[in-house]
Amino acid sequence: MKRNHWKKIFILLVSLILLSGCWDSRDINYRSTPILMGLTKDEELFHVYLIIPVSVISEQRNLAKVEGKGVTILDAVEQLKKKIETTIDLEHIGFIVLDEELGKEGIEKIINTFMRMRDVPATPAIAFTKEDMDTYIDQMINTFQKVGVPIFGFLEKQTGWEIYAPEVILWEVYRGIHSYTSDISIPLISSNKNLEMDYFGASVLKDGKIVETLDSIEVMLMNLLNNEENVIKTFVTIDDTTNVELVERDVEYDYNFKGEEIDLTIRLEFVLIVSEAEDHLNDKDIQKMFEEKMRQDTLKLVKKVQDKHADVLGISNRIRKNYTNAELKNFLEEIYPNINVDVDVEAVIENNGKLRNLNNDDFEDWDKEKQEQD
Amino acid sequence: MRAMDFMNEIENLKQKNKDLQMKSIMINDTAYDVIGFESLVDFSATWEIVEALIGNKENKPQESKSVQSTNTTWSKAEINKQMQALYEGKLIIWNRAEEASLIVDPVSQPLYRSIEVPVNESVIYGAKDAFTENSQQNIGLLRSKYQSKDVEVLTTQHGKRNRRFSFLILKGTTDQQMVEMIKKKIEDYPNEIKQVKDIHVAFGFSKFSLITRVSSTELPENAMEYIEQGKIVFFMDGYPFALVLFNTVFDVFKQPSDSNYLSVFVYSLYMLRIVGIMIAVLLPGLYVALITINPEMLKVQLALSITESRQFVPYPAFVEIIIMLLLIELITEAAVRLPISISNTIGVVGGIILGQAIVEASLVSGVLIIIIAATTIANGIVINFENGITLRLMKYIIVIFSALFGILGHVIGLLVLCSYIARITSFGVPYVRWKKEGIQSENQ
Repeated sequence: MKRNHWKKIFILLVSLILLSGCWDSRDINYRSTPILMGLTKDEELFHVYLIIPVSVISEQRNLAKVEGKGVTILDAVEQLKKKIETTIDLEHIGFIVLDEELGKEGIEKIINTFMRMRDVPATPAIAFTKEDMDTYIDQMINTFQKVGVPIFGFLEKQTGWEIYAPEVILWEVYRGIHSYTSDISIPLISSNKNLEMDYFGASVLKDGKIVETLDSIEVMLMNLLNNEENVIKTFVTIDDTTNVELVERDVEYDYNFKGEEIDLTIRLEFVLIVSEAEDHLNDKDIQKMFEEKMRQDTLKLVKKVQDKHADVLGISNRIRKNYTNAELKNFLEEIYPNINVDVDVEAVIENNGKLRNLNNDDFEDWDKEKQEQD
Repeated sequence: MRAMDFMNEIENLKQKNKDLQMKSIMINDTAYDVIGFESLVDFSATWEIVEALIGNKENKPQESKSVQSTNTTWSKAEINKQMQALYEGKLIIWNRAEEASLIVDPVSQPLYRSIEVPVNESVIYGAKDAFTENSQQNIGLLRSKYQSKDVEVLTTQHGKRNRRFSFLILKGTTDQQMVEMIKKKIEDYPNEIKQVKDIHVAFGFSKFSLITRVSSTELPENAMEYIEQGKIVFFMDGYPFALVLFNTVFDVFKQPSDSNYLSVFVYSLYMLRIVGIMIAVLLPGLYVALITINPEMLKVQLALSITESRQFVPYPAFVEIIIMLLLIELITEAAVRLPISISNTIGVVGGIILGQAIVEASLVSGVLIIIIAATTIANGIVINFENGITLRLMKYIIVIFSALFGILGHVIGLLVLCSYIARITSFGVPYVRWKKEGIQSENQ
């Protein structure tokens, strides 16, 4: 009985070790962890670039460019893996850069492939580049070797992205392509000799194809209109001489159903700090100017995307609960372009820079009081 | 007849034991023999007592009786009993004429150390006395802390060594039936009880338990608190700790003298200890799991710096960490064994080896040194050294599971340990319980 007991434990332990397959796992120093993937198409062949940090015992971290060509994306990755003796772990990829040409052809299949590949996470950021991919990758590596850290910047969600650029990750793109009621816009970037990268704005995707391009001001507005993001703290230029800083914003969407017609009022509330202004303007003037500018810009943006039947602002997503699945199928084509959108902007100036400005009332009062005392 | 027997026996003993002394004294024309072990009895100091006793007896026989206790009356006791008394350090006064003997408590040789500051369990704010090898003294320490008629002491003696076990009972709190049962277990144990391990065996606990069922404490303050919590505290003669049965999982990070601090600090201290326990048990396993099997869970920057530090390490992370843990265990043990003056050297040498040289020689990675240092430091944060040993052992289980199955194995290992701890009971009292929950004997 007692011996049986030990036999059982022995079998258990041996099977534990044998079944685990732990000898197949490779230590971290035998793995390469690419952080950026570039994808382009070259004469019907997919061309995959990877940027792999190469660590040598030294202060400086270096980046290596690896490339592979193949009929499919996976084939290209396999070709690429053959060139390196370490295991390539795609799990650390933080950034996928696609050629803009691919976007014009449609990236639905590519995104599907990425979602299927188990070793690519669902979280890397996606961007389009206008440049030749090879030059872009080289430029990125060059910049890194000159400046150092910045290439890791885009992996840090807090530092890498500005309000002027949309932050889009893989699964959001997938959702945007397949959802009946929402679309997605992907940032358009290029490398730059001095900085890490340039933003040109964003490409609006519809069913995986680029249909429109937004400039960076429009992208900022888009980000402001998105209620969930609390990215704020940005400067808005009203005209050549006036500039305000946004400290807080609140967005409300009021839908009004009148039979077939839908009225939407977007109510925007802002809290501002005046950061740059001509002396002759008082707070009220600046406030009015700002409100008018915001209203016009927002209306223009909404019109622009409505014309292309692409909803990147989430207008139709907010009322999708009112429709059946069958109705939603053609929502973007039939109902969305006909929504009447009005914008209502309200701004409060919290702080005008604490400068002595005679146009502001309280300063005048203070002056008068002083004169009376004298 | 009997007188001859006794004298013969004494002579016999004297032949075998050179330290047995027999001194004759004449008081009021009566001859007395004073017998005792020189190694146990301080004769020169005892002499006064003997003279006073015998003088008293001769002069005022009536009065003396009332003063003296029962075992200091003249009696014609059995030889065996007298011999036993001799070995316990008593003195026998033999009246040749009447053939009667008197067993006296003499002034003993100073064989026990005095009460000192605790060595193993250091206290900042709290009572600074510690138990010694003399269990009478230990009981005295506890009585002085709980001056009430509720405290009762139950003793039993066991084995050829005649070792004394004293149980402390606090009326109304301690389960008397349980104490009786435990006492009986000790009495019935056929072999000699030499160490605490034998007590474990006598109680029927597994020898391979990872958790000490009978824990030791050096501090009377702690022992008193444990008694008040209903735990059973007993002393084994010659073992300078109170043995505590039915300790709980909370005793790993709580001790009574904590309450001398600010409450807020005490709670954060508990949190700190829990975090420390987590680090001590989980961190090495986490390292192995993340390095070998699940590097994708690391942040890229961290993954890269670990890769860099592991660049020239020739063996897998599991071997690497086992080497380092082994080294740390060696240092710890060496520091305990060596005399204090030399053990400092071990610390310095160990620190240099582990901190600098071994990394420069690319035998282990720099990150691992940090992990090991954190683990070793965190290991020391638990209340009792015994609990520290438990943690030391547990981390190996986690490391092995992690090496096999990565993060999944890490969690499985933790689960295995948790279920192991959860099923531990001693005499039906679970190890994981709220301290206030009653300890009741199985029969009830």
